[in-house]
Amino acid sequence: MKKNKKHPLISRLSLAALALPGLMQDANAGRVEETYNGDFQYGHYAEGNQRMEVDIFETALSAPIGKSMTASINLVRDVISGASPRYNKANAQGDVKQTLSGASITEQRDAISSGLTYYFDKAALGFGGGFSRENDYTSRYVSTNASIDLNNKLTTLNFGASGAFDIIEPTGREIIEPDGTDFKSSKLRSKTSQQYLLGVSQVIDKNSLIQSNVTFGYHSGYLADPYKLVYFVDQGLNPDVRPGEKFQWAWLTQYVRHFQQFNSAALHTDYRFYTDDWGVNSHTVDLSWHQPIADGWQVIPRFRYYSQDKADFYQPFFGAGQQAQVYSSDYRLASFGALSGGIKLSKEFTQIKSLSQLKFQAGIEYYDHKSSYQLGGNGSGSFDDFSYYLLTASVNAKF
Amino acid sequence: MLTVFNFAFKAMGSPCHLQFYAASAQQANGVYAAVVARITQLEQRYSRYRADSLISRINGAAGTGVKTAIDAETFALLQYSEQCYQESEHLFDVTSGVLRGLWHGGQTQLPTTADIHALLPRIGWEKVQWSRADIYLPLVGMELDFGGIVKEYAADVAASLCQQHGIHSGIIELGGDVRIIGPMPNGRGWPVAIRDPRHPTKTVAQFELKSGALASSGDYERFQLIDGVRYGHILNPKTGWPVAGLRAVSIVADQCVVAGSLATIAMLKANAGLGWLQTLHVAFLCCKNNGQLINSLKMGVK
Amino acid sequence: MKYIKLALLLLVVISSTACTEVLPRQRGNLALSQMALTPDALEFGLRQHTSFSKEAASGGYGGGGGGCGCN
Repeated sequence: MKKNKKHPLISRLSLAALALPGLMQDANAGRVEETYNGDFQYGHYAEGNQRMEVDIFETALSAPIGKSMTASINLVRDVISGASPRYNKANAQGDVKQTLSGASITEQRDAISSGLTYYFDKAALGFGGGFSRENDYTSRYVSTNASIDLNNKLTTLNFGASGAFDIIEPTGREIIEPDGTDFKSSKLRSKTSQQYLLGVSQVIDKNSLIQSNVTFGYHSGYLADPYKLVYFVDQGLNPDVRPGEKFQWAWLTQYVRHFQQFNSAALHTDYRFYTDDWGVNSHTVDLSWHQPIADGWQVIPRFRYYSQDKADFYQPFFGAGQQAQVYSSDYRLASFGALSGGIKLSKEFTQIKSLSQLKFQAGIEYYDHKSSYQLGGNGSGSFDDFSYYLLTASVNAKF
Repeated sequence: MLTVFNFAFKAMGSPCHLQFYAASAQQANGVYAAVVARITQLEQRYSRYRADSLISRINGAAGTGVKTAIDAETFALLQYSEQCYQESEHLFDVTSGVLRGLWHGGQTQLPTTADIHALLPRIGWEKVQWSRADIYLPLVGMELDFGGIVKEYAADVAASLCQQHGIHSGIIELGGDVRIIGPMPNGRGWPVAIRDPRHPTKTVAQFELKSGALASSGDYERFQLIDGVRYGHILNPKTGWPVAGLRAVSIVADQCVVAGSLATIAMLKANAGLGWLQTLHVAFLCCKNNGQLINSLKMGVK
Repeated sequence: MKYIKLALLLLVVISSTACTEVLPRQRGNLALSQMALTPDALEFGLRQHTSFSKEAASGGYGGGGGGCGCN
């Protein structure tokens, strides 16, 4: 018999049976599902006011190797066009106006990543690496993660470490940086990043689980944006200048709960607190509701709220007499909040010929960035406000 | 060179067969001895008919205020019983065995409603107090009976034991419940037949099983005829009466214990059993009370 | 640095209070695909990438990825 997707009742009974001593599942014990997985996803990202548009094409494949290993590979192509903010200027009345990059950029990012996970009886060990290339940016990274099951697999400890090495080589310009009292220029600069994760996930009861992670990140090198400028009323436009190091901490808690009475719907709630030594603190709340309907249909509404306060060295522009060692007017370092909401539909077919599962998904999400949405503040000014929508469509096949 | 070995024996009150391919008679006999020892151990621990069994000690302590210590295996069986209870709208209840006192073989008259009502309070899985360490039946006369679980579980255990002993081709049958150890050396499944519940010499279905298990439940094994009506041994814990609706149900599942409990739950659901099985998308063969056969095995079986 | 201490303290509290035993038989619901911590990995990755390039905060979730010159 082909291993078809089982009715949840059968799965529950089998799971209870497998707890009986001496019972093994037909010589395929181990955690790896012996299925091949193929995914394709298309995404369309579009900002309002004719700013950035991105088309995303992504393919992912994963395959079992032997009984206890899974290998995966992931390919992404982003096709990017449009303009992005470069600097802000204040007029005589003190109103701030944003200036976008003049020419419309069209470029492409290609990324490849792959990973290998080895499953032990009560632990898993994974390794991965990737490479991403744009005409002005190259990134390479490696990562490793381990998980250990404790307490009858009710508790899982997770550890992760990753490192990235990026090279920035702006097209048609040089990177300008301060050098003592003067500026120096270079064709390319680099930065390195590392991130460490410590986490625990815990089954609370038969309907809920919680996961909590702490991550620590450290970045060093050229952390500024070579395309951004900063307007000084006294001196005119200066390059974006940021500290050469950044320490980041994030604490994430995810809670997932099952609701039998709503046709096995699932509630996902994520809360993340973030802080870094550039002075940015942020809160993120992400909620989604996964509602199975019938015949493999599922509808998934989602809501997210994000708020951050500004980096210490951020200002929309620098006024008369203002001096600074490091300074940026990048909207991503400003004080702001963002509300987003979306809905996704998913339809799953089981047992089609040799495929054990075929799943189609399509979703839309709208994201609204506003300085006034900032938590307990009124942001850095509404000149930065923007919104985008993100369309996604994907197909997943298991065989 | 692999040779097929055949062993017939009696265990858990039923005729049993173990058939497998092994490299030598010495290996085969070793495996057979290990299987029989394991099954005997299960029988000693869980048989209601043995005064020294764990089950008899648990039942003997019912209502006395004394808890009986249990081991991990018994705990897992209790967990499994709990799961069956939950999945069956409380129809699959391992405390319903007390009813057999009224429906034992050999009686010629129906029990009275008063008899049944007197017994019903002693039934109820939710009354049982159990933990990882011990179990207690709070009412005098309550009984625990793993009869609907242990035989099938034993088939699963025996199959894993054979696999651990290096047997990769084989089949074990304990009183009609079958578990595959592994396909035949040529890769084909083992031929399995299901008998007609009313005419044991006739088969109603025949197919090959490569992996997994086949278990059945029905009114054919033990029953009484009272005034020409056939009363089976599958008793509804809520009404105290034998169930009527289906004659027999056979199920194919990965584990024999799961196949067995699904079959029993389907029987307990009586007229609703067939519809329930159909929603589960399991491979089954169901014989309705009017003799009509519903066979979903062809689509599901290997 | 006081945030860090707070975070670690809460982590410990969570892992020690959540001790109600869930027996393997009861985990059927948790095995449903909609109950996975990341039910749709590809979409999750895309969303992470997008917020990484539009917001200052990152991290918390696992799986370090590469940077990008995203504007």
